[in-house]
Amino acid sequence: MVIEIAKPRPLWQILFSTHHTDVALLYLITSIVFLMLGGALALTIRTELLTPGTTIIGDADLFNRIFTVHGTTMLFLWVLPFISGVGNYLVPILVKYKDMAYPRLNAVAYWMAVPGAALIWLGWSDTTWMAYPPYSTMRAAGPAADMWIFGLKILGLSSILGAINFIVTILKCKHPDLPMMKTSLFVWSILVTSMMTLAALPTFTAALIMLYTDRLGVSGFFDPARGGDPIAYQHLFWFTFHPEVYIFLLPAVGMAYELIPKFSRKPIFSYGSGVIAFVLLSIIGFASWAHHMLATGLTFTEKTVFMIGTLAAVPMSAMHVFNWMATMWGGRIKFAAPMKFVIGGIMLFFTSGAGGVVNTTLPLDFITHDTYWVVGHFHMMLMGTVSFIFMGFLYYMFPLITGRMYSERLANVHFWFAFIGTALVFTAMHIVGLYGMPRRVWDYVPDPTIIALNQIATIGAYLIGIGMAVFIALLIRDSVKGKPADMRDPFGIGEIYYDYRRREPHH
Amino acid sequence: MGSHVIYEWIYVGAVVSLLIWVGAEAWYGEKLLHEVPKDHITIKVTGQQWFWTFEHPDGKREVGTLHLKAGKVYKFEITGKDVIHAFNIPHFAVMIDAVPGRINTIWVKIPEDAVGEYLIQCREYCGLLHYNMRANLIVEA
Amino acid sequence: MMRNLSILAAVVAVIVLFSTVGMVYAQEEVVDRSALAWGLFYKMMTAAFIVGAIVQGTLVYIIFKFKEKKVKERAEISR
Repeated sequence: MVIEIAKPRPLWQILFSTHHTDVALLYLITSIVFLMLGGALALTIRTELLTPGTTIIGDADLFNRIFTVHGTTMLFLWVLPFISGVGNYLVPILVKYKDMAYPRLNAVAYWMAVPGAALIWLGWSDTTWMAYPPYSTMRAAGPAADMWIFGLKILGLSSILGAINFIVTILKCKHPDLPMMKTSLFVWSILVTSMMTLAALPTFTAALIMLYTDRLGVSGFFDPARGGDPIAYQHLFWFTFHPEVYIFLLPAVGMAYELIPKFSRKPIFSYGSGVIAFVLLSIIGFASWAHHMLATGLTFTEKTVFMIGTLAAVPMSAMHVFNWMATMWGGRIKFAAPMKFVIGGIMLFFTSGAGGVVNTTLPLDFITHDTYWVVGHFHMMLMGTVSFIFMGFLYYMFPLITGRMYSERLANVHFWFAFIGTALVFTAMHIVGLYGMPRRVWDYVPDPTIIALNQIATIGAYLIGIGMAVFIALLIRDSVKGKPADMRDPFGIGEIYYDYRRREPHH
Repeated sequence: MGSHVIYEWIYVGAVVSLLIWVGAEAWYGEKLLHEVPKDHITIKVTGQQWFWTFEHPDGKREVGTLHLKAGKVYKFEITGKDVIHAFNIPHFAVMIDAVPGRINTIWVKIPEDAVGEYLIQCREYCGLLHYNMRANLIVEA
Repeated sequence: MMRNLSILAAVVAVIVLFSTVGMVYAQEEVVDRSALAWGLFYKMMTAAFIVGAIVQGTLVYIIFKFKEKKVKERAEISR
C-alpha cells in the first residue's frame, strides 16, 4: 500500500502507528475515499435531475437519503479529514517538532472518525445534513436519524481532540528559535481554525444531545407543543456551522499561502496582513450565523445586525485575494498542477464571495433563499475553492507522501475537466435558482428553461466526474509506478522542499 | 516591499466602501418591505405535510388553491402544523418559513395587471413529498 | 498613509450621507416587492460583474504576464 521507495512497510504498521505522518496518511486516504463516494452520490443526484420526474431513482425517499449522505460525507468525511491529514503532515514539520504534541490522542482522533463515518453510511439518514427539527425529531425515520446523530457526535469529538492537539503542538512545541511571527501562514490557519473549532463546536454538540432526547420523547426543546422552539435549534446549529464554514475555508487559504510564493518564486507580499486577516476573521466569523436564517421570521433589527456581521467578514477574504495577486505580480510563475488548482480556486473564490454578498443583502433573500442559487453558491465555495486548493495541495505533497512524481500531463487533464465542469454546473445552479427551483427536490416544474439549466448542470457534473476519475487513476498509478522524485526540489522551483525523512517512523 | 503595503490598505478601503453601499441599499430596501401598509387583507396560511391551507378573513377556507384580487395588498400570517415549511410565491418574491408554534407575516401588493395563475411552493425541506408541496395562486381581476 | 485614510473616510461619509438623504426623501407609497427585490438584484449584479471583471482581469493578466516562459524571454530581450 504505502508506497515508500526505500522501505515498503506492511499495512498493519501504518494502521497501528501513532507517528504523525502515518496518522496523516490514514486521514488523507480516508478523505479521498469519501470524496470519491460522495462524488458518486453527487453524480447520482445530477443524473436523477437530468429530466423531470423519475430518471433513475424511483422514489423521493431514496433521493432524500442520497443528498443527506452526500452533504454529510463531503463536509465531515472529505473536507475535515483532509485538513487534519495535511495538518498532521505539515504542522510538526513547519514548527520543527518531532511529532504532534499528543501522538496517541492523534491516533485516537483518527480512529474515532472511522465509526462516525460508518454510522453515517450505514444509517443512510434522510434529515438533510442540517437535521432541522421538528422534521428530524418527529418525522424522520429511525434508526437512520439516530445513527446520523451519533455519527456526527463522534466526528465532533474527534474534531475537538484534533483541534486541541494542533493548538498545543503549535503553541507549546514550536521550536524556541522560531518566533510565532515567522511560522508559515499555513500553521497560522490551522491554529485559528483549531481555536474556532473549540469555540464553535460545543454548541452543536449540545444541540445534538437535545435533538436526541427530543427524538426519544423525554424532552421538548424543539417541540412547540411542549413549550420548545424549533428555531432555537437553528440558532445552535448555525452558531457552530457558520464559523465552520471558515474552518473549512481557512486551511485552504493557508495552503494557498504555502503554494503561491513558492511557485511564483517570490516572498509573500504581506505576511502581516495575512495574519491579521486570519485572526480578525476567526473573531468576526462568529457574528454572522443567523444570515442562514433570514427567512425564519427574524425581526428587522436582528436581520440588520447579521447582515452587517456578514458583510464585515468580506474585507478579510478580499485581503487574502489581494495578497495572493500581489505575491504573483512580478514573479516568475511556474504553472505546475498545484499552482493551476490554486489559481482556478482563486477565480472561483471571487464568484462565490460575490454570490455571498448578494445572498446577504436582505431583500434578495426572498429570491434566493433555499433555492438552487444557494446550492450553487456554497458548492462554488466548497468545490470551486476549498476542494480545488486541497487537490492542488495534494499534488504538491505527492512527492513527500510517496517519494514519487505524479504525471503532470494527467494532472492537467484533471484540472481542465474539473475547472470547466465546476464553472458550468454551479453557474447553471445559480441561474436555475433565480427561476425559483427549490433545493432538495427530487422533481421540478417541467418548464423548458429549468429543464435546460438542469441538463447543463448535469453535463458539468459529468465533466467533473471524468476529471475525478482521471485524478484517482493518477493517484493510484503514480504512487505505485511514478518516477522517483528529486526530494530536494521536486518541482524545480528553487525552493527547499519539506523534510522527506519525516516519513521514516521512529516509534 | 514594505512601502507597497499602502496599496493593500487603499484596496481594503475601497472594498469597505463598496460593502457599506451594499449594506445601505439592502437595509433601505428591507425597511420599505418591512412595514405592512395600512389597508391590507389578512390571509392565514398553514403548511403541513404536504399541502397548503388558506383562510380568508370571512372564514372561507381553501386547500391547494388561493384566490386573490389584483391591485389589493395582502398580509399572510403563516404557520406550520407539523414540521417547518416555507411559503413561497416565486413570481411575487414572497418567501418566509412556516414554523410550528410561530406566526410569521409577510405582505405583498398584487399589481393591477397581474391577473393569471401562479405557482405557490414549499422551499424548506419537509420530508418525502417536499418536491410536490405546491399550490395554485389564482389572481382575479 | 494618513492622507489616504482620510480620503477614504470622506468617501465613506459621502456614501452614507447620500443614502440617508435618499431614505428621508423617499415617497411613502406601497412598493412592489418583486420589482424592488429584482431591481436590487440587478444593481448588485452590475456591481459584482464590474468588480469581477477587474479582479478576474487582473488575475488573467498576471497569469499571462508573469508566466515562467514569458519572464525568461523578457529577460533575454533586455539583455
